[in-house]
Amino acid sequence: MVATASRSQRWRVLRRSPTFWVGGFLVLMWVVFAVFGDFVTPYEPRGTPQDILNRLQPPSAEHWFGTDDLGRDVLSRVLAGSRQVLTVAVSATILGTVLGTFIGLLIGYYGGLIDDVVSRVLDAFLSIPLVITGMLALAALGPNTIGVILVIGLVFTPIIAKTVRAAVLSERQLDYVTAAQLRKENSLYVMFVEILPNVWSIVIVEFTVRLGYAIFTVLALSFLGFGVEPQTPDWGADIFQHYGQLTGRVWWPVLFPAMAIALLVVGVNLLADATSQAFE
Amino acid sequence: MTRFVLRRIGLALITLVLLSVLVFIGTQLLPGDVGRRILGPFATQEAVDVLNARLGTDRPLLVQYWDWITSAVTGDLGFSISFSRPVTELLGRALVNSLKLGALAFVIVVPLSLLGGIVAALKRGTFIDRIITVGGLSATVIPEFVSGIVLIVVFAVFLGWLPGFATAPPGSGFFTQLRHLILPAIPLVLVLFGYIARITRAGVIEALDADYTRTAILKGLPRSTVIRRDVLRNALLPTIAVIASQVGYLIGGLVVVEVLFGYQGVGKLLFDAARNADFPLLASGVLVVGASFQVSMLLADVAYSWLNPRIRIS
Repeated sequence: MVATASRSQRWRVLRRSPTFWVGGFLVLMWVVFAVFGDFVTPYEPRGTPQDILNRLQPPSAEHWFGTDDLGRDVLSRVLAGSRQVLTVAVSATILGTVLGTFIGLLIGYYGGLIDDVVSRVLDAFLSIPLVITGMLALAALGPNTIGVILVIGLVFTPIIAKTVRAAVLSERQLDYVTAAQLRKENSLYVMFVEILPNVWSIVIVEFTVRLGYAIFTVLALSFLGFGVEPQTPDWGADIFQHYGQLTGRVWWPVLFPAMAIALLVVGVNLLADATSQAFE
Repeated sequence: MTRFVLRRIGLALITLVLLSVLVFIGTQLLPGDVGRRILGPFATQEAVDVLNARLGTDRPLLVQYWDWITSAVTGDLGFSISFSRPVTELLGRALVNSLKLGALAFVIVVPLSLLGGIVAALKRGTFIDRIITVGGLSATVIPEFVSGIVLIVVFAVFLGWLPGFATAPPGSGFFTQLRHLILPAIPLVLVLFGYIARITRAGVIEALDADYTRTAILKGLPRSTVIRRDVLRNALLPTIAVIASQVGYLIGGLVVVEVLFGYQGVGKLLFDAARNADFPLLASGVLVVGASFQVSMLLADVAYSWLNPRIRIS
């Protein structure tokens, strides 16, 4: 299924898909804000000491999205907030994909006992939801950003390894692998130079799908108050800090970050959906 | 069949033992000095030592693990530090609350998403199909607290139709409790809808393309009979397994929803335990969550194999 679709064919499928364009636009928009946020935010997102004087102002001409309970400009915090979630989620997904691909190649190529052990550990990991695993680890380690990256990356590792393993199992039977083995190439060469390029598309699809889950989890954990240093503009943490004020009809510091999250996750998942369809 | 069930129970037990080791590592080994982690950097060493002695965390790790597991099996899940109550009592009450919320979400989502998936599959490639598929995908990926906030802002704050706080006053009747649980249930419904509808759609399409369906149509049977007798009967089987496997997700989703709506369920309890570094409560709570997940997966597998004769042989 993978070998038949050439690169140009895949690109043609992608280019024709409206899902790809809408998703790509939304993601690109947030990536641009994450990178160039400091140049486009109208105010200082971390706030200044004077801000406290105009706290909780509703949306107006000066502050389009209003101000929060420390008087910080909500629009600036929403624009700057994409950096935190994107950095953490992308790092965690890269960590999980690299480790998972490596382990998947190993257990797919050698099989046997390691295969069984990894499957059992994976089942144990998967019997508690990722958010709870994250809470558990962060309660133990103390809340910090690196901890979030490590937890999500390490939980993704066996999941990705399992997918890569399945792909390697079917590749291992093919003639080019036998040929390389008969040439007496060493196992690492066969795994990384011969097999890896042929399971590459599966790794890419896995990466885009996992990225969606990573963003979901990072946001849930930051909403629950784990993993974000104070003052850092972060959508989840900002919502957690202000949702108690909804009863007082103060909706703007909560609803705007929520909208930002919705746009980002829908974008990432449309992109992942389009990629999966093009590659499968 | 008996061998299949026994094998499945054995696997679940192995997984639970592994999970208990992972949880133990997470709550006893990772924090380093448990007493210090609970009391913070400014507590005196004596106070930390006293707490460690009281919690039993000054004993060898293997002894601690064995003690924890053997008591857990007999129903004693330890003592919560932050609530000063037995963990079993706290978890029992929280489980009942979470079960109410989870059950309401399932009662709404199962018929809705099955219908959505079937309609999308029968109208494959049309505009309706796109709406259900893309809409379902988008609903699935939006975090529960985001949809929850939109619901609170619209229905509780501005329209004032429903309470934005999930806990009904004590002693409330069934309908008052139900009214409080409607808004919290919807974010869970949204996330589950896209997922179940998607699997249902895939199952129905596979059955529609199968040879037996073609045979039935070529025999001249009316389309509605073919769909009812051949397509749906075959397509909805795998969906049962999928629905049961969503129990695990549901518990994770409950953490966020219960925190947002201030509801005293398992999710909120685990959240409080994690925030207060209440490791005895956290460890046993996570173990119970894992065990409930294993039990629901087990029931799903057994139900699936009972309904589907093809899988029973292997």
